[in-house]
Amino acid sequence: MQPSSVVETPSLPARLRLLGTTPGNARHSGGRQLVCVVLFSVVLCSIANYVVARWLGISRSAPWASANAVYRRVGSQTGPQVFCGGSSLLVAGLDWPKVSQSLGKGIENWTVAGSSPEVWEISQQQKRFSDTTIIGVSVYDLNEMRLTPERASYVPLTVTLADLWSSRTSADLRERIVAQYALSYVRAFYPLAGDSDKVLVGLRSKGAKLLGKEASLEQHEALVVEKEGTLEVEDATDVVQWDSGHVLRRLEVLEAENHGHHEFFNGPKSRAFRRILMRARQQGQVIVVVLPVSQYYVNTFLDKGTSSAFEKALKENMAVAPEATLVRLDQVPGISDNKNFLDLVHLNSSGRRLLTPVFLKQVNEGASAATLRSSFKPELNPRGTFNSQLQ
Amino acid sequence: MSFTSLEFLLFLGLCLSLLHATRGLSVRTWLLVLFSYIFSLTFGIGGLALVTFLAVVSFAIGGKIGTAESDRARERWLWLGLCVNLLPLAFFKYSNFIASNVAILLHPLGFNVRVPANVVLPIVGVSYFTFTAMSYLLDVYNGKIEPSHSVGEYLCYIAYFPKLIAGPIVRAADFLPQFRRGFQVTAEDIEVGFGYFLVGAVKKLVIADHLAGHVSMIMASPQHYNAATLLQGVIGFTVQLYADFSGYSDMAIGCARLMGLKLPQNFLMPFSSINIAEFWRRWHITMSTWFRDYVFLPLEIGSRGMRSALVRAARNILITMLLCGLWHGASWNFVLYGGVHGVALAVYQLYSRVRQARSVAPSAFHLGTLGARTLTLSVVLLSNVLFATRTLPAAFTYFNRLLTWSSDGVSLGSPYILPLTALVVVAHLFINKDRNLIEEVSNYSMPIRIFAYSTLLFALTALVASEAVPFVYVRF
Repeated sequence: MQPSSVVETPSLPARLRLLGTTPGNARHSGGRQLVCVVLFSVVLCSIANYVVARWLGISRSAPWASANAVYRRVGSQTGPQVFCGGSSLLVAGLDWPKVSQSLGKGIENWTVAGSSPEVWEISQQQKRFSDTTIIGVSVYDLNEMRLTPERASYVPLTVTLADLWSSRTSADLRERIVAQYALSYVRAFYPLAGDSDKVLVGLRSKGAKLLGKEASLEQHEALVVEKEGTLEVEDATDVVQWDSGHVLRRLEVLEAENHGHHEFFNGPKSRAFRRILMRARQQGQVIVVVLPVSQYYVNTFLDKGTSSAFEKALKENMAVAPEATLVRLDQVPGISDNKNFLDLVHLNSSGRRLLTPVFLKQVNEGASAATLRSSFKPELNPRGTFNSQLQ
Repeated sequence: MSFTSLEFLLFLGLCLSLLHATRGLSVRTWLLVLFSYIFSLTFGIGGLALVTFLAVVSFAIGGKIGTAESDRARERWLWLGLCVNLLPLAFFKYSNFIASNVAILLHPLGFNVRVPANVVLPIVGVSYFTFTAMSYLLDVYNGKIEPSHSVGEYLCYIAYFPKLIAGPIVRAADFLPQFRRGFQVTAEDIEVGFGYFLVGAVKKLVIADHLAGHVSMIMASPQHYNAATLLQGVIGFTVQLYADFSGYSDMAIGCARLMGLKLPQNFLMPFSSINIAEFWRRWHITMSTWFRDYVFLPLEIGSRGMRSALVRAARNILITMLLCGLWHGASWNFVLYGGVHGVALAVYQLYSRVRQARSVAPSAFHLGTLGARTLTLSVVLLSNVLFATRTLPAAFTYFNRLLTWSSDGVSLGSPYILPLTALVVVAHLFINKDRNLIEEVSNYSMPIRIFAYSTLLFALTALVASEAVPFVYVRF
């Protein structure tokens, strides 16, 4: 039976028509076969996911197993280590071998791509013996609207639910955060789920290799690659070398990640940041580094209101650790110039050369101030109030 | 609550489970009404209140039209019903537009009226459920259907959640009898329903959402991009619009089918059209047929006294398409969009009649299928510039830079627009435009069905865009 035409249908060569039984006299085969079809489809799709994930090198941990961050270190392996809590922005932000040499201690970092305080907190809880903590934050890291892609693999659901319950998080953001946990279970069967960027980048790399052209990872749209080994960064390209189209595409990716805006409030990131600070205080010296972002980023995403909100949130968070050394690298004159950046948020060697001496100077000044403060010993007087007395 | 959200899947699952548990019971209709109301509530209490009010009033007025003793009384009830539906539509959708244009008109007379932006908050889906209610009243008036005697069935007809906020716009004659037949679900319904839902999800989450970011960047500031990028932008927007809206429609049809209810097709391979008239028979079908049946045909009948049939038809087509454009949005861009299509349809009408009248052989003046498709798609692409840019100055900038082929400006080089466009083009080239493969696949052999569904599932798992984008047509 020919299907009825809406209008004159130009005839297509038979070989161009899709194959199949003639509709019309076929009938549906019933419920049991439907169940088989669904089961086989689901299983076949899962197998295809695993095969393609393996081919592209995408690996996942089971949702009930803790994921492993990329561990990197530099400096002496003996004695107390410095715990370095931050994302790849912090890793790229300073010359860590020099920092390690100056502090006279080894430095350890556990990195997760695009991570933020909730994930650093998990690393902090697992770290080894440390008497110094360096935490790197920025407008990019502390933006509550941007979620770490693998967040659900690191942060326990109970911690997340407690933070969401206690904070002023919007319904939309709550849904996004909770959906990540559902996705982590979906990924147990479909490891490619929700990661089309990695899939497309992987396919493009494979395609380029097949054609004999190595695709440069720096040309991709969104992926941050973390490699185990030494805590330092090798620069490949600088953002000033990017053409305008590339800059715009990366800005669009960031805009999508941020859902169009930056928000700084008492959300899961701020709460985790404060918990990191409080734990770090108990162990020793605390250094908080505020990292810059590129001028492209500033012009696109940061207006006066956003910047004020960030400053307010930072001040409120730092109140839990008043003795911490706050190093404002984002306020170094000219640092946001695009020539100091590898991409929109990561500093390059030029930026590190500018900032590392500033960091070390401020840390030393902070250490001196801390020594001065510790010489005041508080004493309880008969009325139950504290008096401070110079020792 | 978006169709592509986790909570909608849970909501749908719960609805289907309860419908299954209550099969054969009359309470199922009210269960559907309840779920539809819950769905409507997620978009705001205003929408829920309005849809209830319009449903109750149009149900009552439909009854009055059916029992009225004279034609005059019937006509009065009809006009009352149409006004009751059009007034909220005008208020919630067009207040800001009317106010700002009145302010512009008064300005040269020395009146400086400041109109705050978005004084009246829009109601999601108002364009769809008001049209649904109006079509019921008009069909009852024209004797096409009897007035409904079941409040539950009628409430469900107006507020049915799969089609509530973005269609398809359903006719009472197609929908209400399904309740009377009991809307039982078969295995075929389940398979076809899942098929529609999967296909719709792939169109939306894999194609439309990947295009959205780059397309919106280009449309937001066309003055910064070169002509090649602007061409990419309008092509990307056209494909995004198609994938987004037809994806939504497919998901709505799929949800309904899972409940044993059938909704009409809304898109039938529109990019395979060889003329603009065919395009409008394949694009947003339920809306275009609504305007044809309730605006164009009455205008044609009412203006039969005009001497020239050609002029009459052209005028009526233009009026219909201008209103159609205005339905899309409260902006002169959309009116102009409708006007462009109205002119194109009128020109095609003239061309067809001249060919017919002079018995011209198809080979003369005939562009050939490829030429005809290219011309049709060119009209669609150019009109979509108006659709996408939202303001007239932005649209003129876009046209100027595109048509003069400006080579200055940024070249964006989107990795998504051309490949996804190619995918859609290939689908339109190789799939017969009059076949519905989603319905047919359920009758094929098991291996073919497994291959088809697992391919769709794989596309959904591996290629879904990392950030979800709201459905485009929900704005209307």
